[in-house]
Amino acid sequence: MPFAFESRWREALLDAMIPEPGNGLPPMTAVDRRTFWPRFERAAPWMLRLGFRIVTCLVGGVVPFLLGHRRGFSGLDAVARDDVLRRTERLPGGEALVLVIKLVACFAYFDDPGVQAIARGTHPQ
Amino acid sequence: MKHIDGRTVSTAHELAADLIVVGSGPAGCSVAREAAAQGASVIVVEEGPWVEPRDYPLSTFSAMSALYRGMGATVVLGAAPIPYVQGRMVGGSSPINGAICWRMPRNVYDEWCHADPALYDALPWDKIETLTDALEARLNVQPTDPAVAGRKNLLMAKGADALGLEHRPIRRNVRECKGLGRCMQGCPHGYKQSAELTLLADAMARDTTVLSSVEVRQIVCHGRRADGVLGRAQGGGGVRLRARRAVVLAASAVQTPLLLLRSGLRHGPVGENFQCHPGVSMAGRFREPVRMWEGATQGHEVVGLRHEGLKFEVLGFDLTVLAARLEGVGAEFARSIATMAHWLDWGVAVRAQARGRVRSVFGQTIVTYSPTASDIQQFRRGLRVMGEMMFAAGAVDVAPGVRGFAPRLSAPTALVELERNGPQRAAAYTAAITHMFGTCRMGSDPATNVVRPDFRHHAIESLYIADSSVFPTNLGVNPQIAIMAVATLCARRIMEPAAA
Repeated sequence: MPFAFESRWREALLDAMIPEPGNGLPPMTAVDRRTFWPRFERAAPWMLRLGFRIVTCLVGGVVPFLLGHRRGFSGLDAVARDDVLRRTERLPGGEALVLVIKLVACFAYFDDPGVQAIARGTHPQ
Repeated sequence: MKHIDGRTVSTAHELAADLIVVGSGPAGCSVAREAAAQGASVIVVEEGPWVEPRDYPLSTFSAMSALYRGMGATVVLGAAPIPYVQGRMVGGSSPINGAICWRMPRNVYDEWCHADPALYDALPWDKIETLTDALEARLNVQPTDPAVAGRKNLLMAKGADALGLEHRPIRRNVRECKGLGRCMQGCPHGYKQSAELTLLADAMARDTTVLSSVEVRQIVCHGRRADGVLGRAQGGGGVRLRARRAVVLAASAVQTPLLLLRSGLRHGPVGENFQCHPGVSMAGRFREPVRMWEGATQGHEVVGLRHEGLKFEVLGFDLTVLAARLEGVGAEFARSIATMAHWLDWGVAVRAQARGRVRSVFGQTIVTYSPTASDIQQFRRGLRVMGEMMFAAGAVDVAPGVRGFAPRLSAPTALVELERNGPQRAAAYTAAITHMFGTCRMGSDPATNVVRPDFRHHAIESLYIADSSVFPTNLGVNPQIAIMAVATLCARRIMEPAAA
């Protein structure tokens, strides 16, 4: 089980990964993830669980400081979070880090029946 | 017909049958069906749960959590962590595959027999063909109905036509498919004629018992004879299964060698010679919505470059996997999600040259595998051709998913650059592995093979292996029908009076 600070970081990372899609789709913050995490912990293989924890600590705790912020990811505002994610992607090896976050974010986001219904009926502009 | 749910087994359980079959995928179901038809009593034991089609979830995460091994996120280690995908339920991978059916390719069969002429007698081509005909009839294998194909499949036909490449609707084992696009999560209406709904149902109409949610942990041997298996039910009870005639392993090219190794049966190159079909995908954006999640999950393929070891397929990802494939992070990624209806994804499966290995390290499954330089060249070649087909079909731009290369290309000329000078490292590519082979290879020489040409283990009598781990090489095509045909031959060998 993750520590409390990891939980804060991972929630903030997922929120920042899908902020406001538009087109009727809700932001990640509107998706109830309370049942998602226990199922993820139970079903994901150890390598993914471990990898996600490492990524969470790196992008949530280390990278913001490396990029000049004075707080961990969960203490940043929305603009700064987006900036950290974009700049992380450009760091050497950073693309793989954000890919893991993106994958977990997509698992959580599209597991929501409301998101599924809207997305399947969406006709983009 | 009898089914015992291991989730309810909390005390010691002991059963006996003529055949104990470990694994209920296409191979295990085929063995059970044939042996039961010949009058044998059979116990099929499966690690995963028994799931009724009506209970298949809609979301990818829920489906992968419930029906896939390791949530579909198990990876090979090597030059790059590439996911390999396996089902973990009664039916194995067949309830959650794309329903693609290919007959055993003659050129591959000839390669096998050329390398070991004993296989000509062990696997007679005419018998494989006859069995394949019968299996295709039982599984209702038919070309995809254009009425349920959906735009993503029709666009591949258009792109291939423009490039002059041979293509065709995929032959699938479905009945009355409505094009729900949910093959990968399991068809909720049972339209897919997967192994458990067909072959296992046939077996269970005779003397076959299925134990689901029971993990087999050891093969029990006395001297050179396999007597049964020991397992643990998910409900906590120990399970002992005694085989009067044979123990048959049909647990996949990853799980079968692991079970041998964990049972101390290390004879021959068990776990080595791991082969597969790594694939890469190309996403394309179209001006009009293509709604990739609608229509037959995988309904069209391009076979014109199969002689190069490349086979192109429409991919049938649901929203989750398609979204994860889109570019950007944060606000940019969110905007990409809003345009998802305009994107589709095609894949190319490579008949790779690389060889890997399956091991158990501190009880954990470790598969090591690194695509060769030639395989990576095939990735680049496949991406170029897919991109050209997409542009020819009307794509506005394409996303090759290659790290260290332009994330989005707007003209076919950039694809030439990708093929010629794309990254050399496997980690740069968005790849996945399906179809695994070779880890308990069949052949005459016990030094270089694990089972004999008659499917018997080289060192242990009455222990047979029936799954794709006995295939000497990969096939270059989707293997489920070939696996079923070969496994049926295995069952016939076991049931021959001489084998008894």
